[in-house]
Amino acid sequence: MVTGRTLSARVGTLLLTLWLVSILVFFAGQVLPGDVGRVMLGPFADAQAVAELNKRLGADQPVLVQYGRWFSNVLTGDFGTSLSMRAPVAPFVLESLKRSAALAGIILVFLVPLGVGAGVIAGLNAGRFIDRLIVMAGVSFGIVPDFVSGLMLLIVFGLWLNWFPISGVAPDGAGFWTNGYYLILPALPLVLNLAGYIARMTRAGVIEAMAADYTRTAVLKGLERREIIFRHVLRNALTPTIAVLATQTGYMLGGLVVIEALFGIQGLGNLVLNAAKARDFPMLEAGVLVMAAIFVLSAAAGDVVLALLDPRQRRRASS
Amino acid sequence: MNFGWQLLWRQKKAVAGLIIVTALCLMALFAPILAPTDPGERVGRSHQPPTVEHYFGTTKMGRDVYAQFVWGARPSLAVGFATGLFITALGTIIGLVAGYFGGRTDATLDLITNAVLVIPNIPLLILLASFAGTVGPVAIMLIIALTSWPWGARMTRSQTMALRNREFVTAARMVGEPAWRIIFVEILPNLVPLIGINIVGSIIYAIVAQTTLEYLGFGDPLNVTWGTMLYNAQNSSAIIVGAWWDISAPAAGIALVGLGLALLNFTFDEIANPQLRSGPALSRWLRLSRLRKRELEAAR
Repeated sequence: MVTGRTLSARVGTLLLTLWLVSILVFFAGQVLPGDVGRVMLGPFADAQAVAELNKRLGADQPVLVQYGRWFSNVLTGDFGTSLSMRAPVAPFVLESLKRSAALAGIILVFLVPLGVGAGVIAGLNAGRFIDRLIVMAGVSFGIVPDFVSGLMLLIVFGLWLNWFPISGVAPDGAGFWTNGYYLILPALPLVLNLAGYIARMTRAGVIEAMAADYTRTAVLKGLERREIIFRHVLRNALTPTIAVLATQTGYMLGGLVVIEALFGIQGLGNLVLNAAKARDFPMLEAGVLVMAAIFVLSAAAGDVVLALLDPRQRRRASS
Repeated sequence: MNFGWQLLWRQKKAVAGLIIVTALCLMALFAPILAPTDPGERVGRSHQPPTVEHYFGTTKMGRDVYAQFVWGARPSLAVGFATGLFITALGTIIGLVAGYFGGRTDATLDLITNAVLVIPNIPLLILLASFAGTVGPVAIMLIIALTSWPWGARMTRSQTMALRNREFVTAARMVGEPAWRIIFVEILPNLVPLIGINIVGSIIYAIVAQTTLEYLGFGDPLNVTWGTMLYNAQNSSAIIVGAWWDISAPAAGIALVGLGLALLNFTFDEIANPQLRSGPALSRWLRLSRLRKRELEAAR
């Protein structure tokens, strides 16, 4: 069971990284200035009241004790009580996660065909005009920050052409398609931003596969061009793209913060942003931790898929 | 040196990138001459579209967008460049130490690198920025640098590991040179192309991250930068009233800087990595195949 062992090793490092992230997230809040009681009561509150509240919340205890309690609670799914909402954090996180997932889904629906398609076309025409055009377009869009392209898209398609609503939130009770329609404009900046990178990876894979000996053999033994491309080139070229797609999820999460703020979508990004502005530490820590968990999990999923598709990766990982 | 310049000159992309970046830097440098008015001064009515008097229109507060654009380039570029250099220095040193010493040092540093790498950057930036409170440019710089060195550290580490056991390093060790001298005098010069790529990439990242933070409202809103211009435009509902000039000016600035630097990096990449220049391999095989067929037919 080669894959079994790889998988368990993978899960081990995954848990270790998640644990490290939890430490980092928690201690970032403790080392830097920012007193929990002071935040809740405001700058004009009585010093004694602040100290009392800190004691009641356990914020006056040693950092390690606090971390231990927080971490064991997180393990049981209890992320603590929000300071600004005065309610458990977990339901808020879950609700916002659903909205972010819908947006991420729309992004992927556009991103995968566009990025992979452009990359394959560029790779098959490497060095020609269309290749240079695709690569340049990819780099240009990739370099523009998503909130900048988001603002420009809002002005052009939302304001001038009136094709899309300028908010990312559909009215209550809207159906599946209407909800999706409202999410198209928010999705576009990230699609444009990431498509270039994915196209570049796909292009590199295609070029490498076309220069490989097996492709030369396939050509020289007289196979048809279409058959060569679909059966020999693309099958080998697309494995790295899948891994890249998985790791880009992390980048997407970062981008979601900005996009959600821009379009007023109450997703995970906006949750983190609002919690940061209100200095709602439990909410903030939970949000960042969930984001990190999604990132780590998707990277791991990418590795597993890669191992399933490419026997060489399997052997390398187990040796 | 001469050869390097020629190589750079032949690359049209690099020249275009260089021109864009230099022009923007000059604009920032000569801001007092190009826009003599104070960017914080109220010079006209609220949200005036572009006119001859105000080339880029005015903001909601009646401030001149052109003056803000020119003056805002100063902190945006300065913080971006300084942070980029800082990120590169941090990543390079950590990568060199991890790669050269190996063993437990490497294992520890690698674990930290991976942990920082897995946290999505923007949320971490927001986390740190919120704990630090209202942040000035130096704090923004530190926060960005502390969260984004792992990419450079990883690249440097693997390159250092490849160099560690080469003859000239072993010889230096035999002679009894101290470790710091081997790292900085023997190994570091070999990493110069990599560091170049790292610097340009880091500057791009730093400018984007800085403006993102400011756009999200973590900067000082009174400080005129491209990021705070966008933040103020967004907050004064520039989109809803249709004041596109208020948003387009800083957005174009950020996009231009990014484009210029990316064009430069493209060329660095190609110089350091000739494989990227590979031509169309399949058409070469197909041409070979056609030739062969023709020869076979001729022989028959």
